[in-house]
Amino acid sequence: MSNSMSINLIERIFRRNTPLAASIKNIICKYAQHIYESTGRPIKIMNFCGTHEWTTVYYGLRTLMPPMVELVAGPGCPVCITPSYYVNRAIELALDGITVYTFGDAYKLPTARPIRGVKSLAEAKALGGKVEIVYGFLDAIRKGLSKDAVFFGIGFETTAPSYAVPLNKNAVPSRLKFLSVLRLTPPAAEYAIDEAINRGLNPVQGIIAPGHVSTVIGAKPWNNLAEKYGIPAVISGFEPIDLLLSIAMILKMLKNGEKKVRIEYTRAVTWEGNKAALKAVNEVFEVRDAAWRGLGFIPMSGWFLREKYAKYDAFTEYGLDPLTPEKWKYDLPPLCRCAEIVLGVAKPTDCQMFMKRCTPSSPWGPCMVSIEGTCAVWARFGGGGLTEDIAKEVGVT
Amino acid sequence: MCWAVPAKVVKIDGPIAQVDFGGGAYKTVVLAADGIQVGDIVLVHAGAVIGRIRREEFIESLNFYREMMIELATEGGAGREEVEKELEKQFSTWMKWLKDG
Ligand code: SF4
Repeated sequence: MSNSMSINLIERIFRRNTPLAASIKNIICKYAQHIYESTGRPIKIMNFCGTHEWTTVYYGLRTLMPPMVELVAGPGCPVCITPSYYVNRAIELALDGITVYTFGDAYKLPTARPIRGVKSLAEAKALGGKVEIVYGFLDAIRKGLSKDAVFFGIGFETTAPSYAVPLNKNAVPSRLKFLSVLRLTPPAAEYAIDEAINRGLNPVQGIIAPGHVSTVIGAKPWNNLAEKYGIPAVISGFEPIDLLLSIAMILKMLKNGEKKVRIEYTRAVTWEGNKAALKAVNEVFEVRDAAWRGLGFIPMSGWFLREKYAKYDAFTEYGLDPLTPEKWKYDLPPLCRCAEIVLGVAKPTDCQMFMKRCTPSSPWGPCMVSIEGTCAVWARFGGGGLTEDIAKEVGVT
Repeated sequence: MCWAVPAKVVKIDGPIAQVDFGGGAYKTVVLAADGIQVGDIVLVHAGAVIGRIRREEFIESLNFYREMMIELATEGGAGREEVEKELEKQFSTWMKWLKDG
């Protein structure tokens, strides 16, 4: 984005909402100061959705925070955490003449080490492999009637219904197989919270929970998390005002010692979630321990096809070895710090490859690929100086 | 991969729906939520309808926003009138969009 475009955007948002943004900002400062005085440590708030990180950086929300409020990004980008092992299997299938359908992001996703001389599905295609980018599973179903094909099924709870409903309704042609790399966000949130504690870092004190994941799973799973760790969580929408409000709500709960989950994004999220989608998802998939890129196995964090759907399972159909904790190897490219970035313990600018060997047009690590990857967001929109100046100018510093 | 886009349902045929993202951008998608009807505003992700944005709730949430904002603004020292005026402008656009169906 050009500088002038970004100036226009930020101006529009802040000018239109100046009193709102300013007042929420004041509340945030007031509550944060109050909390800081009683605890004496910075307040770490973690988001679990790449789109929240996008809004945070795009609108320069970090520059609006008082110094004791630290906003960190969590493991909220499915492309970033898809294990290299599965990308390798998809590459092999494509090179063996089986059509691999996938999303645009997964197409560019680099593996840790080259396999048969290639490092991504894009490179496999350049070598004559069969890879097709689609908008969703339904598009693959419509195209996949007459050839042996595999859908490379990455995603979180938001994406699971798009796979589960057609499978559950027997609407998938038998020649189209499914390679499930679906992951669940609450177990990863727990993992990230535990990691900060295990590493002796300032613990996560509040959670900005993902809005669209929660449209599917509801608020309940976040409530379990809030209770387990004794910290507040707010399920947030994606407008900058939604996020500012959610941060203010978290701070208010922290100030009052409340350990609850609240829904800010009430226009799309309910307590129970999307029951029809969850029913289909649970009929088709079962939850098991699963690998996350750079992190290893997280208990009960992956959705795998149930036995009943084995005829669609790319693993059984093509005799692929499943990944096990014993077989899992650290799977980030040399020097890439994505593992720390998805845990919120490092920033993209802490990585020596950032914007040097690793850029959005030539990603070295997985967090630089998807628009929701933290490194890609930071690379595209930066943050800091410019937004700070404009915020000051329009009176919201 | 986390983002879902609002769209309006224009046709339903079993588990399949036609949605309009606005400006005549139509798409055939899977219905992955119960009780969706033609005319509903829904969230679409990766070719599936994952939820409905309920009109009444949307309007309620607007009121909630309004109250919350006014509370926040006055507590934060901003002038109540100015805040209300600003909010009115912002929310009337949303209300118009909702009422237009
Ligand atoms: S900048 Fe690139 S190499 Fe560094 S952590 Fe991010 S994705 Fe990995």
